[in-house]
Formats: sequence, structure tokens, C-alpha cells
Amino acid sequence: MATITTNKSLTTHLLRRAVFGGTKEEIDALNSIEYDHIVDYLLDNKHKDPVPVDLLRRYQMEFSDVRTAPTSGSYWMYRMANSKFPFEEKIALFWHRVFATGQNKLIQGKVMTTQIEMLRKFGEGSFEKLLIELSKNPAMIMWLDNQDNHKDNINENYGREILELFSMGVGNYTEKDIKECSRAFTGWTIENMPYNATKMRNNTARPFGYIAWQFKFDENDHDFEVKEFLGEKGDFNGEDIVRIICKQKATAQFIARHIYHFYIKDELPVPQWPHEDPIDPNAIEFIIESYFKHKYNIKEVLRDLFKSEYFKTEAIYNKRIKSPTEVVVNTVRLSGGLDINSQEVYKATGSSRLMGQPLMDPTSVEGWQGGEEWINTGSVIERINFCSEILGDVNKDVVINIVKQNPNKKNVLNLCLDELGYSKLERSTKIAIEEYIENSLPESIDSAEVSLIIKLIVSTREFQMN
Amino acid sequence: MKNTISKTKFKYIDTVGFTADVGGRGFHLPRDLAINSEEKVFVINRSGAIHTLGLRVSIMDVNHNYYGEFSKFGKNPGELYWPCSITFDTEDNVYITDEYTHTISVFEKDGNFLERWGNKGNKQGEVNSPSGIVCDQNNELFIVDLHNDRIQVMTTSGKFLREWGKKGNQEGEFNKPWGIALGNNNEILVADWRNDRIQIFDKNGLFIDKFGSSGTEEGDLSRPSGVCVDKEGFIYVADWGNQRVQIFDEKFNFIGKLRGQAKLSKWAKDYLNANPDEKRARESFSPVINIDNVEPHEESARIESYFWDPTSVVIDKNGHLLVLDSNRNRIQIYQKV
Repeated sequence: MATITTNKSLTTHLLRRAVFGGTKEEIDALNSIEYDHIVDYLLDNKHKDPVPVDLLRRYQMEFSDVRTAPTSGSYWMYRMANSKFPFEEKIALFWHRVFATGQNKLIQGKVMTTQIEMLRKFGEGSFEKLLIELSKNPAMIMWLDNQDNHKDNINENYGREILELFSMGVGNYTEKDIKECSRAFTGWTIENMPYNATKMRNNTARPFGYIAWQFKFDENDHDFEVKEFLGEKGDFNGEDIVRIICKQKATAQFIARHIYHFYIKDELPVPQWPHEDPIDPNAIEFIIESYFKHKYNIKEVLRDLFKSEYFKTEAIYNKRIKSPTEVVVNTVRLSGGLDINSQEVYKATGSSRLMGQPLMDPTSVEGWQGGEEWINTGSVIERINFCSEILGDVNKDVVINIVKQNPNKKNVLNLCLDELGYSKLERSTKIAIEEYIENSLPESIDSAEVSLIIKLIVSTREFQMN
Repeated sequence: MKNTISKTKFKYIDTVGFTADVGGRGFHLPRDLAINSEEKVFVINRSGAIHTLGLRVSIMDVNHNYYGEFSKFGKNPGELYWPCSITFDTEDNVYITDEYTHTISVFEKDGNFLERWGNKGNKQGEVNSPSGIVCDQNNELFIVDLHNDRIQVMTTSGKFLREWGKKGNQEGEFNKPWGIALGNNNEILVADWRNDRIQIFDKNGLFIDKFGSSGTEEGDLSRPSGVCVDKEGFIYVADWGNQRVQIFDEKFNFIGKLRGQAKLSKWAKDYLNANPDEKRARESFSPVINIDNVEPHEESARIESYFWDPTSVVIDKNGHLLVLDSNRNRIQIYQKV
């Protein structure tokens, strides 16, 4: 298969997929570095203070108690748009899509923010550890009703979803496995459950705000009897169940397909996976092998993948539809990031919602399917309007940087494309814009004309692709 | 962490307040408080970008009496956008800084709007996000000029008198300062927020002393937001980043710390009495629980009785310490014993 030829194109491609795209300045700075080292840099350059959390909490006090849905989503939006270590934000977004949990039921934003923090912290490590932390995560417990999973009366909700949606996928386990799995998670609840559940149900922050939930193992409500799960027998608890799940080939395949879907190319919607083969079975096998080789370590799997031919192939370059959050974050990062002034942050979060991806509020436990489902007449208009307003703003970095280079009618289109993170247009699109420039713009190109051309570029199909 | 570990004892007295995010009796993300000559407590509710209805100044007292509120969210005269700090002149007129509009708003003691002054800039008399403010007995206003990293002294009508400080971490320099207070001997104490220390000056800006360094141990500070001094010279610091209040003697020796011991306030009890399902559910509620090893902010989020972002500390005429417990929308009151 043909591979992406230049280091700059490869770097651009990597930044778009592994994080949220790069600015011209960021891509240029990496251009002289060997590609594999850029991968290592992106994955390993963990920043001690990626965003100024203290300033955020001081100026925007609602980013401290993060009580409501728009606030918690906006806090995360700010982090994605401004983080000096965006790899961990992107991987949290990946897992948020897989482990979809929503405030429409949980009501309070703090516990969702804490869940995202957990995904940030454990999302790049061992999948086994991540799945244990997920099972202990209070937001997940309350989302899937595991507080109602008792030793004498099991609630199968979490036991079913951890197998169906979070690890193995339909068709790889039996109904009995679901029941045995559920038994192992009995007693996994939260502290002060009756009071916190009542506050959640009543949707009240009175008297003193919400109380962030704390995991509790209630041994009096745990079923310590022997269980039989996926062919193994023992007095399993939740950790044992996760250990057994993670060593299954079906789990490796399911996670591999999700990784491929998010980082490589749009796959079919998840419900079709049991019935349809992967788009690229060889790539899936490669990821599965890496999963076992690295003892389920997700970052190492991604490192292998980003350095592989499956990632470098020309066939996937600019072929994946950006998710709404990727559109928004990419756009605001190109424009210089978000100010702490919250109105701007809330607007960005609201736009992601209008495009079809309300953060921390997925449509169902299945999360967002992605791909072509992101696109409809309403969401396309919202995408174009948002990108035009932000990137076409004559007071923001993109237009200012281009005008500084004294553009003329011959070079202005390329200058704009470069400034938009080395964006590419198909030949026919490029010719159409060039003709417009030649026939309709004045000889002297200033910020107004630059803004206009940028608005044309971000309105193209190509700009909505990664 | 124990609730109170101290060489000098501090006794929990009471909790005042309640969550009220659209106005009325209670608070929403209160930022600062001050007590006037009539012992009325004025609390600035900064509120949030979504719940702007919660922005107002509440008037109440420590005996749970509520007298009303004034001002609202906005950028017009009489309105507030990012109110930060409050003080009174000798006539009990009210002065409130606004970090967003770069102004100081003046109200009468009953909340009637009088005037607003201040312009954004870095020249003498201009301000860039005024945060802390305190008025002395000569009606001189000492204003923390946040983004200019300096203190400016102005008259009550906004006329520039003098200034000191610049960005840095040396003596007399600041890094995003926040709270400010008067000492017993005409000294000025400044919570030098991002330098994790308290600096002390005379009223002309002459550096006198400093204490505190970054950390989590006793005596260390993390992003101190407020400071006050009692009649005996004990210094109380809202150790915001560490989610506690620390107490120091006149020589800056550490003598105690508070983590928070709040119980239900009167207004909270009134609410629960009107909502029997929540009252019943609360009967099995344990305010202090075993939690994972998490940083102090998260610890405070999970334990209701602890301080969660204490932004301001004030001593009343009885020597009681009032701690503004911001994210919990309440005031915790302590007494030295």
C-alpha cells in the first residue's frame, strides 16, 4: 500500500489523529525530527501542569465545584483546547465514547468530571487496571445501577454492559456468564448511597452543594460464593472477573476495533460488529498482537500502531470524519486556544452539542457511533458556522499571522491552507477557490479578504475530515 | 486528616448559610465577606457563567437573620460581573471590586448604588482586575491590582495616592496576589497567591516581613486567598489550595489549622424539614467517611463537613473566626479557646 511520503505530511496526520491537530508553528517545529521520535514525544512528554487548574478555579469558580452539565463539559472543553499534553485528553475522549456515561441521569457534574479524570489517568495504561477503575467509578456505578446489585437480588445492568459494551462485544459470552459476572460485582456501591441517591433523584444541590461520590465495597452485600465465568470456576470478585475478561481474544478484538475506529478509519456502527468483518482484518490482527505483547498496555499499542504501515498509509490520509468535539477543539487550538472567560468556553461546548456530541451527555449507553452519522444538514451548518466565526475572526491568530506575510492573489490560498495546520484540498475544490480569488477579490489582499478565503476553506468537505 | 490539630485550641461554633443559586436566603459561590459597624455580614456571591441569577450581595448576620440582597449580574453601573472583594468605609458605605470590568462599585449600606470608578490599564490610578480591597480608618482604600501585581492606594472616590509592587518573587514583589487585610499596628498583609506566602508592609508600601512557603505541611501554604488578624495578633490564613485555614502567632509560628467541621445550619435544617424524603435519607448519612487517597480539593468534594475552597477569613467583634466556605455556600464559625 502507498504510504504518506513526506515527514511533514506524516507529522500533520499524526497530530490530527493522536491529538487534536497541530498549528503551522507546531508542525514546523517538529519537521526536522524523525517521525518515530515525534510519536514518542507526543505519547511520553507528559506535562506536569498541562493546564493552569488553580487559575481556572480562581477566576471561574464554577469550574471548581463543577456542579452542572454545561459546566463540567466546558471545564473539559477548556482542558482539551489548552492542554500542553493533549494526548491524554484525546485518549480520555476515546474512552468516553466507549464507556459512555451521562449526566442526564447522574445530574451532578463533579462525578462526571472525576470519571474523565480517571480516564485521563488510567486510559493510557493497562486495560485491566482501567476496567477495574471503571467498575469502581461512582459515576459508572450509579449510571448502570450497580448500587442496586445485591447478593440476594442481583441487578444485571453493569454485569451485562461490561461484557457487551466495554470489553468483549455481543456473541462471546452466555446469559449465565452475565449473571455470574453480576454476582461478582455485588456490594460494589458508593458511600452514603441512600442520601446521595435521593439528592440525585430530587436533582437538588441543597443544602451545601453536591457531595462527590466515593466507591465503597460493602462486604455484607457481596456474594462470596463460587461462580463459573467464561469456563473458569472460583469465588470470584470484580477484579477476578476483569482479569478473566482481559485475557480473552474477543476482548482484544473488540478493543482493537474501537482503536481502529477512533484512530485509523471510520468503522461500521458497533451494533453491526458481530455480523460484519472489520474493514481491515490485518490491521485488527496487528493491534490484537500488540495488545497481548504489551500486556494490555494501551499506550504501547498506540505507539506500535502510529509507527505501523496501517497508520502511515495514504489510503487513510484525510479520510476520517472529524467528530464534533474534534472539530471544535481543532478549531480553537488553531485560533490560539480559549480564554479563561467562560462565555467563550461555554460557546465552544454548546457548538459541540449542536453538532451532535454533547460532552458527558451521550445519547445512550452505546455512546456515539461516529462516521457518517455525525453528518446531517443541521450539523454541517453548525460546523461551518463555528469554524468560520472562530478562524475567520480578524482579531485572532490565524488571520493575523497570514496578513503579516503580505499575501497576494497568487499565494494567499496556500498561506491560508498552511496556517490552518497544513490543510489539503482536492484539486477541483482548489481550482474553484483560485478562480474565485482571481475573479472576485481586489489586488490588495488584507485581513477582510483573508478572512473570506478562510471561511471558504472551512466550508469545504475536506476541512471536516482528519 | 484530623479535623483540628493545634497547639492553641479552636472550637467549632456554628454554620451559617445554605445553597441558593437563584437568589434569596443563602449563597451561590460566595467569594468574600465583610462585617459592617452594625454587625451585619455582607457576602459577595460571584455565582457562575450559567447561573448568573445567583450573583448578588447578601446581607445577613451570624445569628441566621437574613436582611436582603442587592446588585445583580451585568456590566452596567450598579451591576457586577466578576465581583471579588468587599470593604466598608467609616460611614459603612460598601466598596466592591470587579475583576472583569476593572472597576470598584460603591453602594450605600442598604445597597443603593452610588457610583463606579476605575479604568483598565497599568498606569497610576488604572487597574487590571482589582481583587482584594480593604479600607482603613482614614478612608484610604488599599486595592490589590491583580494583573499588574501591585498594591494601589486610592481615596474613596478613586483618586490615586500611591502604589508598590511588581511581578516577581522577591521581597515586595507579587505573583497574582488576592486577599488583603489590615493588621493591629497599621500594617498591610497581602495574600501573595501564586508565591504561596503572606507579605507584610507598612501603609507606604515599605516591606516589613513575609512568611509561608509552598507545600502541604504545617505552616506551608498553597495559593493563600485571604488573611486576617485578631486583637491578640494571631494571623489567620485561608490556605485555599490546601483546603484549610492555618493560624500563626505574631512571629509567624504555626499554631493551628482547621480542616472544617460544618454541621447543618439553621437554614439547612429548615430546608430538610420541608423535604421529608431527604431528611429521612440523611438519617443514615455520615458526613466524614473513609475516602481514597486523593488531593485536598477532591477530598473536600467528598466530605461535606470539610472546607471546600475557603476564600476568605474574617474576625468579628466577639473574636469569632468566620470562614467563607465557598463551594459549600456557607460560613463556618470558630472560636479560640
